[in-house]
Order: sequence, then structure tokens, then C-alpha cells
Amino acid sequence: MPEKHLRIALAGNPNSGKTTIFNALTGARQHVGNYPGVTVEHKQGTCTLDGRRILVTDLPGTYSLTAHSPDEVVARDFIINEPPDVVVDIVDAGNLERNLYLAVQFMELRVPLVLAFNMIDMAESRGMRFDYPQLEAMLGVRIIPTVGNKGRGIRELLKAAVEAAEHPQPPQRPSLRYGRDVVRELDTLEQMVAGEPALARYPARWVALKLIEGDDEVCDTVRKSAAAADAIVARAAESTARLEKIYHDSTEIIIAESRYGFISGVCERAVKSTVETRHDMSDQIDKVVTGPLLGIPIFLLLMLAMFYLVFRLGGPPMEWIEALFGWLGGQVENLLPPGHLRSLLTDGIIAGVGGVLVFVPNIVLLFLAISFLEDSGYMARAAFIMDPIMSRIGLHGKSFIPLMLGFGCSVPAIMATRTLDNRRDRFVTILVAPLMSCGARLPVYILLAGAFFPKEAAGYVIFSLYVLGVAVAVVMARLFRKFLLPGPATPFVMELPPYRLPTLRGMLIHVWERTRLYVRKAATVILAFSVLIWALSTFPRNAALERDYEARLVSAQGDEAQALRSELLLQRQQYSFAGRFGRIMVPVLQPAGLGDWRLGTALFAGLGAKEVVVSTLGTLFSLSDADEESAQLRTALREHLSPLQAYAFMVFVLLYIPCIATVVIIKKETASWRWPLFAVGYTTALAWVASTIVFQLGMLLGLG
Amino acid sequence: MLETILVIVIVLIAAGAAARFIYRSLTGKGTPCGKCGSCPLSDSCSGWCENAGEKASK
Repeated sequence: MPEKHLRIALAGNPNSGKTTIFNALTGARQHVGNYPGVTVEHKQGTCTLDGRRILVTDLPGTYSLTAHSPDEVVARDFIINEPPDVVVDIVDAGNLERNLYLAVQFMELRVPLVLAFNMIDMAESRGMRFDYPQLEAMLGVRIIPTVGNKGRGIRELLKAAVEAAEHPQPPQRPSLRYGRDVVRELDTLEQMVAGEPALARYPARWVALKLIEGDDEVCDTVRKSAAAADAIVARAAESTARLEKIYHDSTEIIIAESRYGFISGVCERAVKSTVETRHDMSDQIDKVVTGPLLGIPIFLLLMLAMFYLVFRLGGPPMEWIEALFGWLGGQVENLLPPGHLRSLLTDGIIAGVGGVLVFVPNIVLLFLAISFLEDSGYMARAAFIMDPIMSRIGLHGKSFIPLMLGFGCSVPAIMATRTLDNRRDRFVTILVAPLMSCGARLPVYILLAGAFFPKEAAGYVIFSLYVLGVAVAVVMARLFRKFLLPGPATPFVMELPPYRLPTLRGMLIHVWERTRLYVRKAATVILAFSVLIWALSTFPRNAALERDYEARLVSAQGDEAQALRSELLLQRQQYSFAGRFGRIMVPVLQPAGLGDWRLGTALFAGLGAKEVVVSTLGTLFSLSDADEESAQLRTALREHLSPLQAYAFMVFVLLYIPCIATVVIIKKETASWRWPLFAVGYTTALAWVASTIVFQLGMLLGLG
Repeated sequence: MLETILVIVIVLIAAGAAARFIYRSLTGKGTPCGKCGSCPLSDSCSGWCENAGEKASK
């Protein structure tokens, strides 16, 4: 018989440090972001305590258990349908009153509960002092102070949770007073619900409370499963009407006020503040960073500095790796006689995979910078700064968070839109998220910016592409909101977490995960695509053409022979499958300055994954290189393209069809093929229009 | 002869791997399940997690 796991559920407000505690408990490497809404599905990990196996579930961050948004529903359904042995509610000790609101609702649900007062060091440094015995007595639950990112209190928390799970004592109902009138109605409804066997798995008092609050999900459940459903629902409606008449307010507000009143009383008695905390460090920094005058310039400067550093600092190690692959290619050429195998290894695998791996240093630097900005709390400010702009286009700052995640990868960015309550906001954000330049596109930019622009300017060129992505996303969101998904804007208050010094370990884990995946992708998907692209651009061979050039090469000498060899390679490639396919796309891409068939082939190959654009360019340009010593890809590109064409190509890569994984995730999240197909269509059209405008304008201005 | 066979084998393996990748992507099999605790919703997720589905909990 399999050993039974003890089941702990981690709950808490967004940004309370839940994921950090989950990682500390389970040793997992779940990404931690210093902004609300990183966890939108529950995740599981295991740990042990004194030989007991414990299954830990990390629930999405929620402010309440009222089913207002998908993440709240995920958390509540889990607690009710798969009841854990104990719920550990992670409370941000610095924001106690707001965080305890969720804790009170767990108490109402009467689940075994332990509270972790997390980030206690920061709360104490702000002068807050907690009387734990009194707090425990008033709330009726164990409280463990913790500092998740330093691992403080984690073992004690685990012990307390295990104890609460193994010796469950129904928590005392908090001495929460809803008021005499509310209690009277609650008592009546509780009795009616308690008589329903179909509702036995829910605490009757809680169902009564939810019915009075007007919780749609609970009302539906009662309607569907209770024998006396009509009577209960009618009585609930009667109670609600009566209470609203007495209090002149909605029952949801009446009950929320009672909870806050209770929390306020608890804090008043058991929490002391020894210093004036209104103007702490975070407030001082925010005065400048989120100010109306400097907010956006600082944001842009930080982004610019990030791309400049990624390009300049990444340059030397990139050249070392490039030299290493050059040396490796040389060794293979010395070892093997000319033939298909040698060509496959040097022109296919080394040029393709090597072409992608040289950008590892830049990827490391980019994610180090993004990780620092996220973990420090700046990214939440970025969303706050963008809020006025987002409001003007009909979205709000909360939509900007998934978009910022899109700088890493569009897949999690699209999944993170689940934190948006409004369907229209969510779909518009999903549609524009692929326009944010993901990490996979960075190698294309670094390759082309490095090849065609001076070192000092390359960072600015890359920055301009990221800004263009954001600007196009904003414009498209405005258009979608106006014509495709019209409706009123949802009001929203952006939560600004305090600034935190990111931990080196946290940043390194993030960077390592990204780099590992990048290298793994190069060694699997990109390797496979490189071999395929090599085969497609090598075969079939034209026997007559080969014979003809062979005959001409016998009598040719020196430069003439070299020219003939180059011509033969070009003819071979144009005759190949890839060449034929690429030439079909030439008339379409010609107006955008992308008339070289190899560019069209690379763009098509990039549909699988954007890094494949680079590996395909590496293989195609390497195969057409007649020199014995393979020239670097950048040199080969410079011989065939102008800087204007290179920029138009980068614009195309920035805006065209998202990769397959993104298309599939759009389908999953919108539950329809209509939206991903629309995304594919509009991004491709947009890419063509934008790159054509760039190229044609550049030509008009004499930049070509 | 041996060289040609070797090249054909390598190309066939690569074609199989590429087809598998495209199939998994299109059917959503490689996309994150949100449960394994190592990739989902972290921006380290590349969208073709090997743990998806099979290993819901680590």
C-alpha cells in the first residue's frame, strides 16, 4: 500500500512570499517575481519532516475567497474539493491588516490553519512589533514568524503545520462580530443548509455566509445539489434584501466591513509600531522613480542600459565561443575528406548549432538584468508607470505585467493573463503579448546588429526594436479594444510591493534555468532543424549541372576556379528544396528588402522556434561560402545584405507569427482556434507592413 | 557508401526529432501543465517541458 502523504496547501495574498516559502520547503526552483500574480495555477512539490512525506501545494495568490477571478476560483476549489490536511496562510507581516482578510476567510471555512508571518525582518525594521501569544489567542491559530528568502522559520513552520495536520483541532470561530441582524439571518440559513446531505462537505455556516454575500458559485452549487434548493435560495434572497434595507449597503460590503473591523481590532491590540513608517525607503525611491516627470524617462534609460550592457559585456565572451566553433570546424575539415558528411558536420551542425550557442553570454546577461529588475520590485513600478498609458488605450497597468513577462517568453506571459478579471482585457493582452520581443529573438538582433552597425550603436539598435515592440503592442491593443473587443475599462489600483534587494541565489537560479533551457534547445530542437535545413538546402543535386561545372573546373585556374566554385554552390542551393521554396517567397518579401531567398527560408524555419532563424542563416550562408576557411556568419551576411535590409529583417522577426508553442498556448487559454489563427494572421500582416515601411522609407531617405 | 548511409541515418533521426517537436507543440503536449514546480509560469518555461502531464508532481 502506498504511503499516504501529509498534504499542506500554501495560500496567501499575491506577493506575500508564498512561492519563496514553497521553494524553501520543497527545494523547487519556482520562479519568484516581486510583483503580484506570478502564480496563477497551483503547483506541487514534496518535502520530508522526521521521515514523514509531505506534499506541498502552492496555490495562486488571492486577496479573498470570493470567486471574483480565475485564480481565486482555483484556490477556493482546491481547498473545498481536495481538502488539504492543513492550510498554511503566508501573511506579509508588513501589510498585516490586508493579509489577514484572507486568513479570516479560512477561519470561516473552518480548515486547519497555520499562519506564517513572512518577511518579518522587513516589518520589524519598519518598527512593527508583534505580540504573538495575544495574536494566537485572538485568532485561534498558530503563528510562525518567517523570512522566506533567508530560510528563517521554515522548519518551525513545517513542524507547526504537521502538528496542526496530525492533531486537527477545528479552529475556534474568530470572535468576529457580523452584527446581530446578520447573525440572525446566518443562523436561520445555517440550519437550512445543515439539513442538506448534498452540501455536507461544506461547512454549513460558511455556505450561509456565502449565500448572504451573494457568491454566484455557491448559489449555483446550492441550486444544483440541494433538495430544498428553492427554499434556501429564496430565504437567502430575503435575508439579503432585509440586511441591505437595514444597513443601506450591499451585504458583500457589510460582511467585508465586519471582517476588517475584527482585523483592525486584533492589530490594534497586538501590533505596535515604534517608529513613523510613512516615509520609508521604498516611498522615498518611489517619489522619484514613479513620479510623473521622471518615471518614463527612468524606465526607458534602464531598458537602454540593459540592452547596451547585454551587447557590450556579452561581446568578448561571444567572440571566444565563436572562435571555439571556428576552430572546431577547422578540425573537422582537416580530419574528414570533402563530402556530404564533412559538409553536414561543418555547414549544418557546427554552423547551425554553433551560430545559436555563441549567444549564451548575452542570454545570461539579459536574464540577469531582467531577474534583478523583477526581484527588486522595479517591474511592478514599470507597470505602475505604464498605467496612465494603458488606461488611455483601454487597458490597465495590470495588463502590463504579463507583457513584461513576454520579454522572457510569450508562453508564460499569455498564461499570466489569467490574473486579469475582465475577459476583454485578457484577450486583448493575449493578442498583443507576442509582440513583446522574447528572449529567443535576441540572438537574431545581436547577430545582425553586430554585423551591420558599429559596436557603439548596436545596443541602441536592439533597444529600438524592443521599444518598437512595446509601441506596436500599445497601438494594436488600442485598436483591438476599440474595434474588436469594445467595452468599458475596468478600474484597478496597482499594488506596489516594497523594494527588496534581490538575493544572488534567486537571480542565479533564474539565469541558470534560462541558460540551461537555451542550451538544451540548441542541443535538441535546433540541432535537428540544422540537420534538416542542411539536407533541404543540399539536395536534390542536378547531375547535369555538376558534370558541366566539373568539366569547366578542370581547365580553370586561380581566381577563375574560385569564381566557378562559388557559382556552382549558388546554383546547387537554388536547385535544392530549400532554394526552390525560398524563391517562392521572394516576390512577397521583395518590397520589404528581403529579396534574398535565404532570408525567406530562415523566416519560415523560425516558425518552430525563433532561434532557428539564426541557425538556418548559419547553415545557408555557410553552404554558399566557397572558401576552405569558413568565414564568420556576420562577414558572410555583410557581403549579401545592406544595414537597411538587416534592420527590416529584424523588424520582421520582431513582429511576425509567434512560435508554435505560443500559438498553441493562445488556443489553450482562449479555448478556441479562432484567436490563435487571428494572431497568426495579424502579426504576419503587421510584420510585412512594418518592414516594408522601414525599407521603403529608408530607401527614400537614401539609407539603402 | 558508408558515408552516405551515415548521412541518411542522421538526417532521418533529425527529421523524426523535428516532427516530434512540431507534433508535441501542435497538440499542446509539450506545453506547461502548471504542476511540476520547476517550469510553469516562471519565465524560464520554454513551452516544451518534458515533465508536462506525466510528472505532475516532482
